[in-house]
Amino acid sequence: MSAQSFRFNTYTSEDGLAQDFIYSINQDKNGYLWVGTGEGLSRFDGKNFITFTESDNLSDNVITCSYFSEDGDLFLGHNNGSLSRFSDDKFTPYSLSGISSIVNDIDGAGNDIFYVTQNGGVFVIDQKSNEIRSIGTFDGEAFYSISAFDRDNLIVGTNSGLFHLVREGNSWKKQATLLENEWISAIAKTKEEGIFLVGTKGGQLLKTRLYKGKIEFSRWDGQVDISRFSIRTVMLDNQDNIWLGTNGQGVVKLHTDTTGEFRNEMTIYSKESGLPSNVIESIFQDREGNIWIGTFGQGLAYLIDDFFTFYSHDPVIYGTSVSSIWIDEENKWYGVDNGLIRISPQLDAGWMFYSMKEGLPKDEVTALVKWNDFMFIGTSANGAFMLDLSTNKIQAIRFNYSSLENRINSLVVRDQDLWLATDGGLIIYNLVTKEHVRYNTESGLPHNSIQVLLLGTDNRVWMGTHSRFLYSMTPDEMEQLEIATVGEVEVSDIAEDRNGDVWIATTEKGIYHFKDKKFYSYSTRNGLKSDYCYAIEEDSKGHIWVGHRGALSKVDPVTDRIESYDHNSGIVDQINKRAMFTDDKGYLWIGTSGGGIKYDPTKDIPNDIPPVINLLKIIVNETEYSPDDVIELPYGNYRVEFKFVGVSFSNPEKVYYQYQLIGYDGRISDPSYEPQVTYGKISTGDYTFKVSACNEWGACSEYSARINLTIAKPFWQTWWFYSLVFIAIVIGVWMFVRIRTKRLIAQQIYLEEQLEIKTKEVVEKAEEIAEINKDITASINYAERIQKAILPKISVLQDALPESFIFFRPRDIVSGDFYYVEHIGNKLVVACADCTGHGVPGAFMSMIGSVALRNIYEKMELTNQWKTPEEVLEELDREVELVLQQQEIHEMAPEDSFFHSRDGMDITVCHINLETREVAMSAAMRTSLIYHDNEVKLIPGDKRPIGGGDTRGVSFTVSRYQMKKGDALYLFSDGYTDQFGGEDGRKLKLGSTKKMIESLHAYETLNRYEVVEKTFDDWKGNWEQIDDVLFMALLF
Amino acid sequence: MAHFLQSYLQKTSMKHLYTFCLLITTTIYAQPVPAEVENIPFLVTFGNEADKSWGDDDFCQIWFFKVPPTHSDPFYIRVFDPGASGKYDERKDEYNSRFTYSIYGGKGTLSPDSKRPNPVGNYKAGNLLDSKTFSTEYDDGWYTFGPFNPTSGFLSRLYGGYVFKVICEGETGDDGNLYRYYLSSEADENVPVEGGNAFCFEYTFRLHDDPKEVSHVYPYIDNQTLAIKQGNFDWDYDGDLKFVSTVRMGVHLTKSGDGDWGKSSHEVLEKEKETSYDIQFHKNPTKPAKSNNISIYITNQRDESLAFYTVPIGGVPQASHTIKLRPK
Repeated sequence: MSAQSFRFNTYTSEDGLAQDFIYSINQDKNGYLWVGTGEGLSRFDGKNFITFTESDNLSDNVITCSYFSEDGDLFLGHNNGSLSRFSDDKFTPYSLSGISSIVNDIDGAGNDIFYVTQNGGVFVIDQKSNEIRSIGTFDGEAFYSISAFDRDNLIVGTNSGLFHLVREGNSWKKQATLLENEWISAIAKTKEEGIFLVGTKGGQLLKTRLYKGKIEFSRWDGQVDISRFSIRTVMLDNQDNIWLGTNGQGVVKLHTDTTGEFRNEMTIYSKESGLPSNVIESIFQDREGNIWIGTFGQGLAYLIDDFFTFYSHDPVIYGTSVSSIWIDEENKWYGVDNGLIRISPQLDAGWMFYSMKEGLPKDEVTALVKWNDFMFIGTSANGAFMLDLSTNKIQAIRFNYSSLENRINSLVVRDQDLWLATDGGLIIYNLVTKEHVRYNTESGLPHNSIQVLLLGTDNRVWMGTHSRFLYSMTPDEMEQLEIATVGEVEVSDIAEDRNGDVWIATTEKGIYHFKDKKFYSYSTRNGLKSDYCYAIEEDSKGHIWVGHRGALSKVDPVTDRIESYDHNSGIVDQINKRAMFTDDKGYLWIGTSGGGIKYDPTKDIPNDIPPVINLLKIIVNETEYSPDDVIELPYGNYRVEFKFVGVSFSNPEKVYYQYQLIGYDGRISDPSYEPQVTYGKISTGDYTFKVSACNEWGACSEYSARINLTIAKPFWQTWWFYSLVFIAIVIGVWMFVRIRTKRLIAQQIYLEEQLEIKTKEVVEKAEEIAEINKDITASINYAERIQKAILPKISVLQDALPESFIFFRPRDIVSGDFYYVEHIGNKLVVACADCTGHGVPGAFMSMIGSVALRNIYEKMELTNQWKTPEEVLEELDREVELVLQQQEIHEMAPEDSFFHSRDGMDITVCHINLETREVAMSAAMRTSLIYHDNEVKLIPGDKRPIGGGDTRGVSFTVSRYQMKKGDALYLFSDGYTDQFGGEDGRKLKLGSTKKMIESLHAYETLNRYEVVEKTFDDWKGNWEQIDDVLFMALLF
Repeated sequence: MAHFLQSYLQKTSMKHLYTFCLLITTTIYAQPVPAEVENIPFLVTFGNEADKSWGDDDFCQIWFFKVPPTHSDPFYIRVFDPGASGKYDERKDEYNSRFTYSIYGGKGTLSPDSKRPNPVGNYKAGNLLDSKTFSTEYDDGWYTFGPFNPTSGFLSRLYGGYVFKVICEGETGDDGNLYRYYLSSEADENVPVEGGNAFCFEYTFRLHDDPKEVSHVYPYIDNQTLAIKQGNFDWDYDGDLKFVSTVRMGVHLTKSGDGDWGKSSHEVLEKEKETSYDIQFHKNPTKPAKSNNISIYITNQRDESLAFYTVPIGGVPQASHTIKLRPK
């Protein structure tokens, strides 16, 4: 009724397999699967097949058997009686003249490779000499299998028994014939050395061993009968289960129990249960434990996840979907589209279908719950029913409501109440009193459509509906729990785990784990296959299973690791709402739109065997290299591509890689599913590429495939180039220094010569200049004499004012400053003048000024017309301008006046009445100091110079002072007050001069001349005298 | 147990009515239109020569389907019994009617005119993706429109996905066309699109004849709605019309008679915003009208139509998490 089925991935010639007739399967140390077919040898890496044929030096295209020797060489038997050997990436043919019968089996011991041909008997190949020789036929007719206990003992399967062959020197003899008249079709090694399994065409299975030189055997004593199977091949897997390949009856798996005994469990994989063919030539278990089945004409079959067993039933009668499941010790109940299926050994037929005939409408059975001797049945549109198991009668549970209340989603029984979750609300039906109550939105429920009910271990009923709340109902209390504070959730199923935690499946929001009064969310972000979840259940290992559309997720609550199963595991249908059930044996049952699935957790073992990583090739620019090549490249920039494969057959699509090009990458890459990596621009350096492959469970290859790559440095980065450059630099520096020194010496000589010449010229010039200077100095000295001659004698002054003195210090030999003292009548005329310029020009001006002034006073004396000082200055101004022709300046254009003389002088003129001591004085641009009434005061001059052709609109004025005895008048040129000196090179200034004069009068005993002179000299210090100095003290 | 729950519900319905408000969600699969939980047998559209008193005021019905942005596979819109003939439809003399189904996507799908109760103006805006006219074909069978690319719909943030518009119009004749829709991910069977939904702004449908059957529709009350005005057409005074809200257990609506409108206005309470009203159609238990059809729409205070979702959506009121019960 309900067929068990398994999921196989089948690889055929359409997938790249050489042919669909599979004779042998083997696996090399690199993880590749070698598949012998009738049209060549195919190598499989989990994704791609590569086929080898006679064109690759195979002896024959038909590969009938294969064997890996101890040193890893692959020996292939062929249909034409020859062999091929694959070693060091090349095939070598072996054949023995006259032997053309099919090679049926190969085995080896030490250096000897033994094989049988069907009609030719037993042969041996000495691997050292590659010599083939016949061992013999030993009166055998047809030879099918061979295994070597050791180099000296063989067992050979024939169509007439099992031969025990023993080596005697260089020959062999048949020690014994066992199982006479049995067609020995297969001999398989076991994990125990020296023990073999022997299968016969007649359905016999035996275990043999060599004991004290004799073969002993025991026959299969399991409780299941295998005599109906015609065995073609035998294989013992790594869990000690025996796999039999049969001729026309598929594959038989004899399960071992925990004691290692084979009892009563047997699984048959056939066309009816999903295997592509019932004629099996070979069975192989790879290093990861996967089972491969070579079929005769239908390709290579790979058994997918045998922890899932798929059940289906006749869709016409029952419908395809399984909507509800209940498993108890004696019965398996499946709610299907059209009714209820019950499978039970207690039933005569072993099963029963409840439908209209039994009182159950033709309707989808959506909910099941067993209570005592009753099975309560919920349907999608016809309400609930009660099956009395004692009578096998079905009775409807009637409610007089609308059709919504007949849409049953979930059922539970608590105490004596049957709880019905319907689209029309929650109905509680008392099984004793037959009374019922309905609760819907008008009663206050959140929604009419109640999706799921769950009876918890503490007698609490959990209820999920179209809201974001979960409801927990004890007999005394109803609690409303907010699943999510934001957004909406629709609860589709509820499960309780062994810790009493509640798990909630929702559509669109993933699942929630309710633990310690808190909800923890799991979604696709955590690895859930989909956020649309329809069923949830805990398995016997504590994993939480979640049903999606076409997929399952398995959550490990301890690690939060989530694994998913989809079409690769055979899960292709919609997992139906609430259709999960864990039975007492630990099996998880899942209802889908395509039938039922049984999950056996004991078989679901994580694959901790990592993939075998193989570096396939390296492509440098356009050139391919094999992993064995030494790659040393000249200097340049290269595009380097590494291609590799991690061979894992468990789930090749989930194999991921991590790699690093040491010398280029700073760290190992992030995981990638791409079996290749390209580096766009690799230049000079030593690189090592390493890569590892990991399977979906995170088991990574222990040793990474590695290859070294060297790209030479450019010549300018080589040591010899560095040395050459260094030497060149040293030589260059030496040459530079040497040449430069030579040049410098030559230059020095030249300069010295030039210096000598120039020095000589200079000396000559100096001598010439000195001569000139001497003449000039002599002239100036003579001029000084003239000037001194012009200047009045100081006695003139001191005769009138005895204590007066004149401090006169020309800057050069001759002076631009001059003084004038004349005694006229009772008047003393005193003038202190500072002509423009100094030295010779100043002296000229002083001569002009002095003569002009003398002329003025002589004229006054002659004419007896006395002039006041300001009138004298006016006259002097006119005279100077007259002498220097400065009157025309006013009428000249500026550009012409620039070249005209603007020389003149500053001057102070005093008329002192010696009788009255009245002083009248006028000054042109000169300031004087007067000590009067015990106070020193400034007497500023008019802002108009003498000469220069510009009166500046100013008329000279006269100042009059009545001097007393002890008073004094100080006249001076600006050479005194403007002298730089002191500590910081400032001018002496009027202020300091005024203070000096005050000190003169404060200390009468001082030699005033010396003070004036010393003050000037001290102030000047080492500074150069800047101008002619004239300081006149008129002391009354 | 029944007693405890009954007393609990009675108690809470009186004192903590808001606690058990109508909790509604967008996530329910609502690909069948009408939805199973609405308990509505069929949509109905009459030929444009029919008498409006037979239950269809405008001979046109517009539905919108939402496909979530996460759905990237082709999908289909299937119509059950799209023509008027055979066992389900409402025959007036001989079947003589033609009905056109048009499917629109892209910009304009949600044009303002298409959201009004009456099909006037630019209600056919959008890209016409497919159209077919039926008379008596596919009786008691499914016709499949599609496949459609989800992205050919109008991406609406408000409605949470790509929206497609399906308009059924009675082109000729006077027969009543009873039909259903299904938003399916398969062409030849009804497989829900995960996360799909459907809504309309005027709902015209056939009622059960059995007075025990109560039909439901769920207009959504957004947070801008202060008051609603409902209009129902051709109820034939057949029993009771009322709505249940998050805080009110039964508010009676003004009922319509044969071929006329019944209209009433109702204030929206604060706690009812962002929830759906459950409008219930209770037939007269003693003299139920047979083959009764009804049109209903809801507008807000601005005369804007409110959507009927085939599943209720809306906010969830704050509730007390633990309610102590009286011991039995």
